[in-house]
Amino acid sequence: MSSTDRVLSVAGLKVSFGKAQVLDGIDLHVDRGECLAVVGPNGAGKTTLLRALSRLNESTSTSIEFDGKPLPDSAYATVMAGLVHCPERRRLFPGLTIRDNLELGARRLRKQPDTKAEDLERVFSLFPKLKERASQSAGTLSGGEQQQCAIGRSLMGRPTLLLLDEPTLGLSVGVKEAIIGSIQTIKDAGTTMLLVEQDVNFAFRCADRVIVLEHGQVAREGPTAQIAADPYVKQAYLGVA
Amino acid sequence: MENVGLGVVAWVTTARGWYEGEHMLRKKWAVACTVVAMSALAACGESGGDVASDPTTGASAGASAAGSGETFKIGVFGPEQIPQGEDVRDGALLAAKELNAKGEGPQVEIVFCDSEAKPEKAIACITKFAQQDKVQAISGGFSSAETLAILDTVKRAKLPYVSAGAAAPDVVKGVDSTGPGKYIFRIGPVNSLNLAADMCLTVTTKLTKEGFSKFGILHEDAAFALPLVEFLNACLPNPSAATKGAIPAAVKGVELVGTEKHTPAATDFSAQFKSLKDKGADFVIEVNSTQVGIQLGKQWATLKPGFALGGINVSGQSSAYFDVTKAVGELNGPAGIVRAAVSEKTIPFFDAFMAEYKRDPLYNGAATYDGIYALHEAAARAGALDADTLVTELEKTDRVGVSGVEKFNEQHDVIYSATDPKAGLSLLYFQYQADGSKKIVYPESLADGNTYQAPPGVTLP
Amino acid sequence: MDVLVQGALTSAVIALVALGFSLVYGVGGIVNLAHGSFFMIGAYSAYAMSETGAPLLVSAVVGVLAATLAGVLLERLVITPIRHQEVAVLIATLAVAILVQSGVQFFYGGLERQLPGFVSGAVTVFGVTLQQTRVLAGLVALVTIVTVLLVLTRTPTGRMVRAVAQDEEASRLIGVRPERVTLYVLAIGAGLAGLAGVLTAPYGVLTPTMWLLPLTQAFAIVILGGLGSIPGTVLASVVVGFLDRFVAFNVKDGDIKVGLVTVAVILATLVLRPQGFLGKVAR
Ligand SMILES: Nc1ncnc2c1ncn2[C@@H]1O[C@H](COP(=O)(O)OP(=O)(O)O)[C@@H](O)[C@H]1O
Ligand SMILES: [Mg+2]
Repeated sequence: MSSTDRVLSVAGLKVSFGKAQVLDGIDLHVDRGECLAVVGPNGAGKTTLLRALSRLNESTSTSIEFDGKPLPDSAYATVMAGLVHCPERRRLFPGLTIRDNLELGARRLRKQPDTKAEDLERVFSLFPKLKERASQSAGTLSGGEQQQCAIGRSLMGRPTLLLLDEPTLGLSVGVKEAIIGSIQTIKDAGTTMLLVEQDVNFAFRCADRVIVLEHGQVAREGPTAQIAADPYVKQAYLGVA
Repeated sequence: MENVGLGVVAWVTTARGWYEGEHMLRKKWAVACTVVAMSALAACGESGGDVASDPTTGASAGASAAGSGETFKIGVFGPEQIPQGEDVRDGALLAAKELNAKGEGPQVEIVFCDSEAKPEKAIACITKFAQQDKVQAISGGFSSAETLAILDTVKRAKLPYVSAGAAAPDVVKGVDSTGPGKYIFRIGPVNSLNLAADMCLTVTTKLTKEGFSKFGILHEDAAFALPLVEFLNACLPNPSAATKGAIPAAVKGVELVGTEKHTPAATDFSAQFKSLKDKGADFVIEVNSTQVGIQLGKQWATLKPGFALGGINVSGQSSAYFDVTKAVGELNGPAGIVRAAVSEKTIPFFDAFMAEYKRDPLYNGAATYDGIYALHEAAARAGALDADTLVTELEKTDRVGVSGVEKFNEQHDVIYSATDPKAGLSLLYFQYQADGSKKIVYPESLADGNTYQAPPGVTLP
Repeated sequence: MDVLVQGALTSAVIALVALGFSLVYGVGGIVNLAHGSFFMIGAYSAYAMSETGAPLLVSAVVGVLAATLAGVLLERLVITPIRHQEVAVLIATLAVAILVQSGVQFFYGGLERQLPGFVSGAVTVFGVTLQQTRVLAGLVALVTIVTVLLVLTRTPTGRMVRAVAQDEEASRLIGVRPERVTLYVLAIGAGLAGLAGVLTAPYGVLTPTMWLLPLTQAFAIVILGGLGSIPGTVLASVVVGFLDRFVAFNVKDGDIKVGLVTVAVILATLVLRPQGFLGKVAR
C-alpha cells in the first residue's frame, strides 16, 4: 500500500492526566477508505485517543502523520486540515436549529467553493427526519435524531478522516440499527473513519480492521475477521466461552 | 448602595467558583490575585495623594518685601479638585497679592494645603501648618465636614483660624473670647440657621407677593441640607413661631405641598418634578451644594415642569452654570455673592478675580479673600503677630468686605442682618436673566430696580 | 404613562450595557468587572475629544472606539493569561476597574464633567415631557440592541457566537476559535458600553466613579435574566428599567431607594431562582 493511501499514522502516542498515564504509547494507522474500529472496556482511553488526535487533549508522540503531513498542534488547524471529530454524547448546539447546526459543520470549508446546499441535501437524504425538523432547535430532538444531526454536522465538513465516538451510546436497539445502517452507507460512499464503539458486534459489522485498547495500550490489532476469531476477544468481549 | 450590591454579587460568584472543584488551584490564584488587587487599591489611594502635588510650592504668593519687619504667614486649606476649593486658594492668593503690592502692614505669605475634601487630610494640613510651616494664622476650609474636623487641632495649635466656607452652626459652637475656642472665627458664609431663616422670610414675605402660594421642597440628601429642610418644614407654615418671633406674627405662613429629595449623584429628576407638580406646587425651593445642581437646573429649564425654581444651588453661582443649563428665571439665594454694588468692594473684587483667573468667584472665594484681609488688618492694627493679640484685634473687626459689613458676634460668628446692611451681612437673591446675567432681586435695597420675573412656562395670577 | 415611557428609555440604555456583559460571560465564561469601566472610558474619551473642539459626532465615535480598544487591550493583556481561573479573572478585572478609576481621577480630578448633548430642549411623547437627549439616547440604544440581536440570530457570525456560548468545545470541533470569538465579543461589548456612556453623558455627569452603577445594574440583570442568556438579559433589562422608574415615581423618596431595590431583586433572585428567568441550572 502506497503511503499516500495512508491517511493517518500514529507512533508512540501518550497522554497523561497528572500522574495517571491514560494512553501509554499507541501506534496505529488508518488507510484511505477504510474503517478502523477501536474497541475496549469503559475507561480504556478510547475517547482520550480521539481527543488527543483532534488536539483537544495535550499529548506527546514520536510522530503523527495526517494526510501526508505532520498533524498540526491546534484543534483549529486539525479541523481545517480535514480531521473532523464527532464527539461522544453528540454535543450539538441545543439552542440552535438543526439547519444551523448542520451549516455550522461546513464552517471549515468557508474558504473553498460553496458546497453547503449540495452537502445539506446529501445529509437530508441520509437522515430524512432531519429535513422534516430542520427549523426545530436541536435540543428538542430525540437521542437518535440528535446522533444523526451530530453525524450530519461532521459530514458537512467533508472530512478526510472522520473520528466517530460511540455513535450508538444510550440508544435503543432499533435506533441503533438505523445508525449502524447509515454509518455503513457513509463508509460505502468513501469516507475514511476511525470508529470508537463499546458495542463490539456493531463495530465488527462496520470495520475493516479492529484495535482492542486496554489500559491505554493496544492489546490486539488485526483485520476484523482475525480479531473476531481471537479466543481472548471472544471470551472478553463477545461473551462466548 | 451600589457597593453593597457589588460586594454581595462578587461574593456569591466567588463562592460558586470555589465550590466547583479544583480547590487548590483556585485558592492559589485567589491569594495571588487578592495581593494584586490589594496593591492596586493601595496604589489607588496613593495616586489620590499625587493629585495634590506639592502643597506648598504651587501656591505661595510673593513674600518678604523690603522693610516692614516680619512676614505674616497664613495657612490656607481647601479641596483643590473642586471649584469651591480652587476658590479658597485663589481668593487667598489674590488678597495676598493686593496686600503685598500696597505694602502697608506686614507682607503676607500664603501657604496652601490641599484637603482633598477629606477630613483626615484637612487635619493633616493644620498639623503641617503648625509644626512645619510655622504659620501665624489659618483661613479657608470648604465643607462643613472638613471644617468641623479640624477645630480641635486648631484649638490645640492655638492659631487664629478664620473659617470661610462652612455654614454649619457647630463651627462656632462653644466659642467665646476666653475659652479654648477663642481662636476660631467665621467670616462667611452666614450660619445655616440664619440662611434657613432668611429663606423662610423671603418665601413668606417676598415670593408670596409675586403670586406664589403653593411651595414644594426639592433637596439634596446631604448632611448640610437636612437641618435646613427640617427648619423650612417648620417655618414655612408658621414663620413667627418657628423663629421665636424673629419673623413678626403678622407674616402669614404658606402652604407646603411636598418635600422630595435626590442623591448627590442624581441625573434624573423627572419623578420628583412630577410628584411636586401633581401636588400643585407653583414654586419649588431647591437645596443643594454639589455639582448635582447643574443637572437639576438643566432639567428644570428643559422640561419646563410648570413651576418656578429657586433656592440654594451652589453650582448655580459659577460662571459656567448658565451656559450648560440655560436656566432662565431660576432664583438663586440666599446666594453667596454677585457682581453688583453690594458693597464698594464687590465689583472691584469681581473684576480683579476675573482678570486674574478668568472666572467668577464663588461665595467662599470672596469669604477667604475677606478673611485674609481681616487677618491682615488685625495684624496691622496690633503691630504684632502673636496669636492672642491677633484674636483680640480680630474681635474688634468692623470692616466693609466684598460681601458687606463684616463684624463678629460674641461667638466669633459673622453677624447677619436681614434688614440693615450696616449692621451685618445681608443675604442676596439673584435671578438668571435671558442673556445669562445674574440680577439681584432681593433685598430691594441692592436690587437696583430689578424685580422678580416669572420664568418661562410659569404664569402667575 | 410616565413610568411606561421613561421605563422604556431607561431599559434600552441599561440593556446596552448589560448585553455586552452577558455576551462576554456566555461566550467566554468571563465575569468582567471592568465592564463598567468601558462605559466610563467611552464617556470620558468623548469628553476629552470634545474639549479639543472636535465636532460632537466625531467625539462620540472616538468615545466608542476608545472603549472598544480598551476591551481589546483588557482581553489581550489581562484576561487571556488567566482565562480559565474564574476567581482570578474576577479579581484582576476588579483591579483594572479600580486602576481606571484612579487614572481618570489623576487626569481629570474628582471634578464632575459635562458633555454637551447632540440635541437640546424637550419633547412630549404620549403626554410625557422629556429631555430630547434622553429620548435620543433611548432610541439609539434601542436601534443598536435590535441590530445586535438581529446579528446574533440572523447571521452566520451571530450563529457562531451563539454556538460558542452553548458549547465551547463542540465549537472547536467545527473549526471555531473560541478565544478569538471571545476577543471580538469583548471588544464589541466594550464598544456597546462605551456607546451607552457617550449617550448618557449629556444628561448625566462624568465622575471617576461612574463605572460602578452600570456595572451593578448589568450584574443584577445578568443574574436576573439567567447567566449568559441573551433573551433573559433583554427581558431582565426591561424589568430593571421599569422597576427603577416605577420605584422612582411611586415610592416616597424612590429616587434614593432605587439602588436598594436593585440589590433586593438580586438577592431575591439568588434565593428563589438561582438560575434566573431563563437560565439553566448549570451546564
Ligand atoms: N480530563 C481528564 N482528567 C483526568 N482523567 C481523565 C480525563 N479524561 C479522561 N480521564 C480518565 O482517563 C481514562 C480514560 O477515559 P476515556 O478515554 O474517557 O475512556 P473510554 O472512552 O475508553 O471509556 C479514565 O480513567 C478517565 O477517568
Ligand atoms: Mg469514551
